[in-house]
Amino acid sequence: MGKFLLLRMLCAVGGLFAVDGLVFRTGWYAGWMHPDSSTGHYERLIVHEREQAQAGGKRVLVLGDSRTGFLARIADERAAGRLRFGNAALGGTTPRCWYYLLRDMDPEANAYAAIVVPFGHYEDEEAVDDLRNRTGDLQFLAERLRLADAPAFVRSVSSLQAHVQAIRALAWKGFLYSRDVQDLLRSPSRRAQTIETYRNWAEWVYGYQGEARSLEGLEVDYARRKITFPPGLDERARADLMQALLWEPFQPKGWMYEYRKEWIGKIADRYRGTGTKLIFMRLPRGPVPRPAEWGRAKTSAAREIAGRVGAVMAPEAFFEELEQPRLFVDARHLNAAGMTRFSELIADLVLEQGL
Amino acid sequence: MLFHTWEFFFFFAIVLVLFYAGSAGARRWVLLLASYYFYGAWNPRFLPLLWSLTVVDYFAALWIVRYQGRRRKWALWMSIAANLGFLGFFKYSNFIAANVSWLLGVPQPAFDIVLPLGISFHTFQSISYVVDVYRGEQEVVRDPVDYALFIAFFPQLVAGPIVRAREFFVDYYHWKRPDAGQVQRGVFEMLSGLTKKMALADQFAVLADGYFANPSAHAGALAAWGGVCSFAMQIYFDFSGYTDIAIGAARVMGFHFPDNFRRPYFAGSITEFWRRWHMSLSRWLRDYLYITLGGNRGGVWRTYRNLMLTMLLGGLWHGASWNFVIWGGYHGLLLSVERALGITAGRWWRVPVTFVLVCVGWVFFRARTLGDAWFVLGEMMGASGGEWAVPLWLAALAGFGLLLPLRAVRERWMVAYGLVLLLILELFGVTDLTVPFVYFQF
Repeated sequence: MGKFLLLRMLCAVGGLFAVDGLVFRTGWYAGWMHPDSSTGHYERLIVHEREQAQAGGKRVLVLGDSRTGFLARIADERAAGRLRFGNAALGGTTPRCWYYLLRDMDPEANAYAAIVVPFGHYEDEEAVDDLRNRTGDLQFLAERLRLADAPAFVRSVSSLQAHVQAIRALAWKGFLYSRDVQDLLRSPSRRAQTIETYRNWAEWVYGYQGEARSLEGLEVDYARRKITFPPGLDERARADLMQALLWEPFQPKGWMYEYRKEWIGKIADRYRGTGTKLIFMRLPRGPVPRPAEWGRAKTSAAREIAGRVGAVMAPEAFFEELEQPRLFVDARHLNAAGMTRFSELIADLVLEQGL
Repeated sequence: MLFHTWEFFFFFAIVLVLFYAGSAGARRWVLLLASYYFYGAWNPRFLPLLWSLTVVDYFAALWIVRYQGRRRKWALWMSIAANLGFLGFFKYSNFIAANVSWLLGVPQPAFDIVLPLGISFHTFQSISYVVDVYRGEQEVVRDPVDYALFIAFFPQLVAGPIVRAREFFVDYYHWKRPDAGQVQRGVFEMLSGLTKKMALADQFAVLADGYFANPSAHAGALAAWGGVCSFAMQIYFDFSGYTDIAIGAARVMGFHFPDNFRRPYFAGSITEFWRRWHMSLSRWLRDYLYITLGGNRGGVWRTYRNLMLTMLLGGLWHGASWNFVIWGGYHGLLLSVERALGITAGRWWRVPVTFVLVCVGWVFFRARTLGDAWFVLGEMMGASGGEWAVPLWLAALAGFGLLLPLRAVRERWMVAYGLVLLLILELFGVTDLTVPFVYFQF
């Protein structure tokens, strides 16, 4: 059915690959990327941490997502110069993103004295969304994934749709940048201004203090599945609390165990036998933690990995003092007071290791 | 199974393999079963309806050639009544009930009727076949599988183009394996259709939906024109994109569908617009409605009456609401005026004028209610500003899209053309939300 057809189609697809590569794989476009995008934050973090590593001194990196309400400034004050903390807790990221972050941020695996890795639970409790198929990770990793990463990355997703999306994005990065390109074309001058505004991002993040409001007055009767909301809470916040606290326990399917074994395992293997100590910690579980007996997971990839590579596991109850409504701004995130205390405790935890 | 999804392309690849691997006898079964699977994938409950109409029209045509006189006519009317009856029941029950209730001042009864996909298209195709057989313009098809395939052939089943029996059966009975050039053309038509749909229609859909969801929230003439032009672009790229995929898919299998669009926004008059827009429907309305009503044979006023009736019914065909009736009537009126003034094709300056007139019509087509339509028209004629929502890059892309069918360029620079389409798809294709084709609702 036409050898020239196949040839022409291959030429067109190959041409797309070449043009896409020139624009998006050479780093040229990175300079124009929206700084407030997932990729923008991720990239800025890598550049910033590389610069900090060159400044010398013993550095500690705290990984995490938005639930890791870490303030490096507070931890630095607590450490009083003995250690310097880096904050790599980026909202929306997952252990898969952390692995690639560390790979490119610390290529020699020697930039940090310790890396703190957070867990929601040490047991492999599962959420509704299967993290393996979270293709939103690609938005963070757009600049980082190379063609050589394709097999491992594609293998790490399980659904057909996620496979298709991953292959497409890894082959033609423009698919990942399309929204950003459209926004850039809408107003290049505004983009240039935004990029300029974000030049002071590092100082802004370092000086961030957190939100003052709290959930004081929140009470949860888990036996009756009833919540007494703090006064003045709007409908959306109430619905969010209901969803975050009262979901019915379900039997894990086992994907979280596999997922952690793969990606936390990769991080652990990367630092095995190096001078970097891995410290696992369980995050504060929420303003009013769900009953322990609601947990269903029997496995713990965290414990297995820690045992295998000699990582430190902070006591599960280490942050329990923070699990109170007055220290949370919503169902998942600490407020200013909570973040401050959380950061002090992290500094204490790391200092205890005698680094 | 939408044409612009992975599922369709998996399905199509499997169909192609089976089609070309099979013997001549097996091919028609492959296509027929694939077509029923394609239709059933939407909603298998409507397959029996499709089968019923197929059976009715198949036998009606046989009776027409077997009998003479009244029986022959009776078979024709039975077929037309069955097709229009099904179409009327599924498409217009709620509309009729709402208007009768309004007239009688009683509450509207609640009918939970789901419109079967593509019913407007396959009923028109069936009617055209039976009428052509009655008129002696089409030989009756005696093999039920052949006839069933003509009705259900999946590339054109749900939204056209409305293919005439003789066009389909010329390719079908004298099927020739398409040469490399034909396959190449088909593949690029499909790519072109995908680009129109995903990178243009769906981008404009976001803007048009945003405006028409609540026009009063976007005050000003610029905002109104932005919303209306966005819809004008959305509906053109959506429907012509769908048609390109349908025509391309058929061509890859050795079938040739008629063109359905020929750069309609470059028309210099409304008369010319209807010769370039949804051409297979225009042709159907002309041959089976306008000419049946008497066409232009009964004097000036009858001609105008026939034009108006054809366009009013054409409007109603698009949807069961007064908005569509007004849209059809508006076009009927413009066609009549042009006829009275002797305008058929235009000079260059008539192109923008025609586009503006077409856009005014789209307001009735797209607005949720008549009230919204009048409001939008008022805003369009107003002097206040508002915000123009269409970004420059999208307008430039639309300009490129409107010129896409420049065949000479396309064929001479095939690889470059394909590369540009792929780049547009990559950077501007809307992949994170699935926007159904506009004409699927008809």
